[in-house]
Amino acid sequence: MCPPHSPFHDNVIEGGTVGVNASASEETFYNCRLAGIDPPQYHDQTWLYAGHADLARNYIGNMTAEGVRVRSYMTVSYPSFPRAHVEATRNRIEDNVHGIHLEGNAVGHTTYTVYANLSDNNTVANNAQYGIYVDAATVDLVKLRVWWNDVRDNTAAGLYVTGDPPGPDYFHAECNWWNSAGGPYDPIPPPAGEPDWNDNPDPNAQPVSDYFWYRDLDNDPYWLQEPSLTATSCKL
Amino acid sequence: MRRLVLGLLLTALLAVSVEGGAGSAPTPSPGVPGWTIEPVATFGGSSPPQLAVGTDGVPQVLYCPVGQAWWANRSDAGWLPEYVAATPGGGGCGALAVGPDGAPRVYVYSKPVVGPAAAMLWTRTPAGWTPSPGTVPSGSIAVDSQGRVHMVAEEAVPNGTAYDHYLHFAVLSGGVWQVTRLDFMGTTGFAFIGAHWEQVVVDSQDNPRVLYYDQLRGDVRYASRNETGWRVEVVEHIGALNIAGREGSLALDVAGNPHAAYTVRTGPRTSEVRYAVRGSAGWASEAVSRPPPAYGGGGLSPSVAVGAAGPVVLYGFNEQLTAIPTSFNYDLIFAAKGPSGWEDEIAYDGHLFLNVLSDPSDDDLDAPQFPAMVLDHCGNPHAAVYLNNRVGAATNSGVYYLTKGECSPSTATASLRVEPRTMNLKSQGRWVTATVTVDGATAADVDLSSLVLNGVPAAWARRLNDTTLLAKFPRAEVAATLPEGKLVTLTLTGSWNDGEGFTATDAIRVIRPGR
Repeated sequence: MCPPHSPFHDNVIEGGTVGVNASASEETFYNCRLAGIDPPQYHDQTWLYAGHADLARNYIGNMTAEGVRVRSYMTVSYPSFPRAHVEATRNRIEDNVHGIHLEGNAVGHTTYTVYANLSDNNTVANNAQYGIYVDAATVDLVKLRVWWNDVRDNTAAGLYVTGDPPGPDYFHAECNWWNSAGGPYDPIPPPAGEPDWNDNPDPNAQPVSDYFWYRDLDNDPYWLQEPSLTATSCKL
Repeated sequence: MRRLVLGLLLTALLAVSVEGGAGSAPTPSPGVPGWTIEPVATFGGSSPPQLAVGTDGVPQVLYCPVGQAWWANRSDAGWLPEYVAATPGGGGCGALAVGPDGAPRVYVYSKPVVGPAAAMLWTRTPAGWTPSPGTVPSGSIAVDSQGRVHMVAEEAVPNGTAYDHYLHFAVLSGGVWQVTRLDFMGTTGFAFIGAHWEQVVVDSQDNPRVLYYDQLRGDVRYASRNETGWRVEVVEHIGALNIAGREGSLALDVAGNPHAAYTVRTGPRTSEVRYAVRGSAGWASEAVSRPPPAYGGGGLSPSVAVGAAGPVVLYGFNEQLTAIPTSFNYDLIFAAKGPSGWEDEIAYDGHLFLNVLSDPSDDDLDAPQFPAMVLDHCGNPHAAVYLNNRVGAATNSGVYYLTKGECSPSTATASLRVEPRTMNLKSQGRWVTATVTVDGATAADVDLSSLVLNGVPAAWARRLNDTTLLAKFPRAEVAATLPEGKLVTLTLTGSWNDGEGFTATDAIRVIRPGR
């Protein structure tokens, strides 16, 4: 059973453990009585939840865990089960421990991937650990979209990918502003550090992890200041 | 493979080069004796510089501080910079090539005062740097003998919610770009595929040759055009590379044979540089770089050139020194292929100590990136690199120029062959053709306007390839200087670009029928 989409817009979601939880999970009820059957029959009943939240123009802040949680807690393999995800536009996700936490899970041969479409001028800032946390093995590499956001002043990393994702490609995060015209702080050289190496001594530069592509052209507030230009240029 | 530099020497050099405490940037540290280094411009925010040698034999460099593109040429007073254009952001730095007219061209994604960023071709003219529209952002350029600019780049074309990826070729002729999508790489959900690279060069017949990496199919490919059209072939299937940067390079020898160097991932944390040459049986490749070290690292970012002694490759070599990737040797290696195989030496002896990974303020870096190399007519290397050179906030980072050896055109010679081999003084032909082959210099070292045959100035001259010129002289005027004879000597004089002169002679039969 899947709940309907959950649009949240223009809210202040502040001061808790998790601001928005769009995780996939299942809940099993034991010894449920089946209605309309006599004599009574009982069996276990499992409800499935595939989280999906549309977030627009919210402030999500001061959470002791994550501003936005998109995880999977599935324990049984349902191969066609929808994947948990969020769509986020023009939100401020600030002052949490992690801004957005993306982590699916695997059950047998089924990997419950999760993903997020973080695009069009979200601000992911001042989170105590990671702005965006991406579990490399269980986040959908193709569907994760981190495009045209302001990612800065997150303590450990603005975007953190846990390791080398499956397959030949890496995650993509393009047309974002990393708080320095010199780009993010990304110092480990290839082939140990992948895929980019962009040494940038600017102390304001947002540290990031390896294992995702950002573009050389992205290191400019130009993209954030000029959405009309972004529409024609930053997609290239 | 024989090593010119022993590990002990490497250790000693490293020990010297890492000196420098907090508050002072490390001194740039060239490798074995003979290599020299000089700053072109210092700035933070790395980007790949471009290097070319002008028709005057002078090295010139394109470099890009954040948001800017600059061009500089070398003089006795140092490097003379000129501002070219504003660019969006940093990290990228377009392309540089010099035309037969001596004018440098820069192709770079540019940011105008008003309006969206756009690809632009900038040409250095007496009035300054003059822009004209380009086609797609970034790319490699070359200029042919007619002054036409050839450009290649990766192009993403929207296809519904996905993108089709092509190798984009364009030639600017008569003020109009003629575009060819010459190889379809595949379709992805991303507008940007990370690890592509490409380079175009032009052969003596003005045909473009292109080496590129197709990340979607995992191929290093070579495309060439002749009178029958384009031909694309796979140099080597190398699989996923996933290293951003200039990871491949192409050069032609005097016979027009293509020589390639490119980076190959050999393991999750290792890479090597390979060299490939195309012979009659196709492409054959071999490893150039030193073996990958135990903790990871290896060769990357090669730049290849071909001199009279054979191919040479300049590449980066990093060596992870600890299990946690925070300490590295980071060198530039110059390798030359001789009769006994590849021999190499350290051109730049660098290091990279990151300490706390998330903290830029404790870094100790002296690490060269993005080498670009050409050879002069003596076979000496000239290279530009971006050097990450800082301790904490104290920095000498920027673009540097490296070279080794001295070269003077005065040691060079020229030989002459005149056509027709038998000249009939009564014939009504229009031209005498002179083919001039230089030795110890390149055709670019010759001042084309200086060529004179038996006192008659050339009516027209052009460079055929790196070492050969073609010049045409008015037949009637030359004939007027010739006596009849079985072996009549003609003398060609000319000047190198530095002003020194040269002479070459040839002997032909001269007849006057009817006597």
